[in-house]
Amino acid sequence: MASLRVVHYVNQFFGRIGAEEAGDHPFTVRGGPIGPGIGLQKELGDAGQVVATFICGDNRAATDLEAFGAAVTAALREQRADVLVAGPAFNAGRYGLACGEACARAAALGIPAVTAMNAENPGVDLYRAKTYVLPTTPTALGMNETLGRLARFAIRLGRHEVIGAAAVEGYYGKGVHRTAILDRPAAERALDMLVARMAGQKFATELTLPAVEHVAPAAPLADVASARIALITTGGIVPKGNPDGLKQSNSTEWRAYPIAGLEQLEPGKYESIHSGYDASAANSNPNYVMPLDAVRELQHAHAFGDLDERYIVTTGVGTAVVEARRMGREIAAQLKERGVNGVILTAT
Amino acid sequence: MSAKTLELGTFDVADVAFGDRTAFAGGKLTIARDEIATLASSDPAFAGVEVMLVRPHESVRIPQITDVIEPRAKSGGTGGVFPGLLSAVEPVGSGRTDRLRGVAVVTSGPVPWLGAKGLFVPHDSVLDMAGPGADLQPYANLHLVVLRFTFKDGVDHEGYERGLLLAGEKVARALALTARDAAPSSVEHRDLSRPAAALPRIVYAYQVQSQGVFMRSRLYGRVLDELQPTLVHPNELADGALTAGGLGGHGVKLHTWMHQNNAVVEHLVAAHGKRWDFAGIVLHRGHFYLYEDKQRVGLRIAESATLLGANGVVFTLGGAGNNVTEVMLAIQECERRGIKTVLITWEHAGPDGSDYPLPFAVPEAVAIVSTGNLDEPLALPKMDRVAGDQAIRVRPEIGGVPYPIDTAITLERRTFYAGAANPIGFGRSGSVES
Amino acid sequence: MITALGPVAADLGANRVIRGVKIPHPCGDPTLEPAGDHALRIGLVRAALGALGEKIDKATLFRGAS
Repeated sequence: MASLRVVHYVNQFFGRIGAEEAGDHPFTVRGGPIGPGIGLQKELGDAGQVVATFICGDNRAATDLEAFGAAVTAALREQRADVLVAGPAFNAGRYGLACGEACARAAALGIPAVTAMNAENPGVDLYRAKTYVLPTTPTALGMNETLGRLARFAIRLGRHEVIGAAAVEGYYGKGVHRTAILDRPAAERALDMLVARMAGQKFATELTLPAVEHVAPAAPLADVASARIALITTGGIVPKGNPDGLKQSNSTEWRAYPIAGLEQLEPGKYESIHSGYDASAANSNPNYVMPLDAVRELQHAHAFGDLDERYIVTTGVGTAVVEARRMGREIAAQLKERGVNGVILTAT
Repeated sequence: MSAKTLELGTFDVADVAFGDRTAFAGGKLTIARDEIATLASSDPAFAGVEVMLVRPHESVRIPQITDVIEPRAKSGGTGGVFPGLLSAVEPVGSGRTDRLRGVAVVTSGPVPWLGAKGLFVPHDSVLDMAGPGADLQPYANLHLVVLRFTFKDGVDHEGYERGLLLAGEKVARALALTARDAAPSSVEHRDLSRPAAALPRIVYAYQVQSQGVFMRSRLYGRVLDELQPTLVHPNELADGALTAGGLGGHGVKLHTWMHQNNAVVEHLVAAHGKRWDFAGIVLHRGHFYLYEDKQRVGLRIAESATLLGANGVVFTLGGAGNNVTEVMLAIQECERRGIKTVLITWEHAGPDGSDYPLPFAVPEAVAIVSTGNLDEPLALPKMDRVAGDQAIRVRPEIGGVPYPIDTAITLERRTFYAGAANPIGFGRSGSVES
Repeated sequence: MITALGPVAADLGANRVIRGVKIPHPCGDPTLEPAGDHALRIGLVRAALGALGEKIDKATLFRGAS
């Protein structure tokens, strides 16, 4: 098998140019391996040859990633690289960004790439979805071991071998889950996990909940009595017959229905099409979910200024957060255009 | 646990075929088609029934399943199978029970919607015995006796539900009774009394769904819509004390077969006295509409586990949605008391697997086994045969639309595929990060 | 937001949350006489309007249903 043409990216320090003071060193191409590239070459053996080393000052790269990326792209083309290895960057943040960007540019050219950095490096979250990022120790104490892993990964990538799941192969996952048939029934996996926990042993959960995004609360309305209010519900209340075919679950759409001149949602003229709760109460009185009758009464009593003359509806069962977020943005933009200051949203 | 021992006699079924008599001999079950059809369809809810046989791993798609039941009958001890329904309300789970392993009864058919929508509609599912869908359900290795019903007009959903429930159980028991003179393949002695050695005590918090006629569970024949957490002996499950019901069913539905052959229970029983002390089951339901009621359920589960001396609790889910809240609150309370927990659940991670995967979680839920992403589309190839209607019904919220299934199909979400959620952990499905 | 699952909503990022009645009827109670049910609904909407006018620095659960 032909030896893979491997290109190695390092920063000014590992490229033996200088330390912090050389942080603005421009993008440079040198022949053969330099610094840790020599260790990388040893690990590659006959399977690959480090034909060139790209070097750039961390500051230079990180402050203009666009220009840096363009330089990487041009240089990769010239080198006819089979695979790019960048770093390892360990804890160095700017270095991590540069490594990630270099690999992302290689990937965009169809050249497989891999880098390595510590979990705390901001480059991980920014580039884990765009390229393969292997974990490392915080400092360069882990250099030799990391070079070994990088070399083996690079060889597989260069040979276009299939790379499996993140947990198995040892790279930072993209955060995307795929259903697969594993080696043992879930019940068995669960009991093994519980036994380990009861014995105080280490265990690996199969599902870690991502952090929930919290938004700073909007400033309060200065004067509720003069505010324009809009009504929204995720309880699936629609005009009877569901004229727009709003989905009963896994919603991707929202609708606005007129309420001008209505003192309530008249029973019999509306229904709930939501598939996640007992709709009998809502069907007998839609105001239980979309409280228009009470809102109107308070409007007449000047508890608030005026009411947007439509209510907005979607169904909130099984609806993906990404869709909900998009719908929320669309609704908010429209309501802002309509001069709405405050929203009452009912959820079932 | 108390000395409530059960002898479970297993009769392995190697082959199922139609024949002159309904009988079991030499590992072969023959079914007198007309006799079973008459037994199944006697209820006034039915216009008729078609009895079909499906072989293990056969290229067959089965639509509109309401329940799957393993043939069982008692041959010793108190009570009869399906107490409170087919049998009197007498204690079960001791004495001798016979089961046919390798065959199951399936009740199916197009239950009339009668204008139902939303939560309350008989959902049509599909199930494949071959191809990529086979690993996603527990029955691919079984012979299935499929009872496809047609329904009479002028009956309400309660009537259809009762008809289907009793028909399935009657046929299941009748098939098991054919083995009464045969020699079992094996007899298992299920004794869950407290082991001599000090072993970690595990309690199983078993959630079922029961909300009206479309999603219903029963214990000793009593509908569980008002269930507050209660204790159940695992051997009671073997005798059909806990039954599924309802009409139709999604990929998250627990069938009676899953209650009879609960994978968590089976594993706990198998290693009782060796790896752990299986201390009991806390049966509960979720989907309470009041937040305080969810908190109450969480507390009762934790209190029950404490009273049983649990060191650890396994949780599974009955149904999808806000029932996760009861379980999470129970997990929270257990962990606060030093009781370790593990939860088996599927994910709702969106079609591409990147979305927030659960409706609700607590920080104490540190040990979770995932059975995969239910939101993932599922491409299923054409099967050679459809054992039932050639189309299922979808979109009840717009009055219903036929969806042909006698062809290759791509299900938008796995909720339409029976068993896909792997709710009791019978299957090997899981989640890999990519 | 008015919802029966107040704590869930607050946990998951909703900032101004009014505790509704029950999941299928967050803004009403079919077991009450019409006058009582209506008063309950007025109370919930009033609480919601009040919350819109109140300064908060994190997700806050306002008691709405008594």
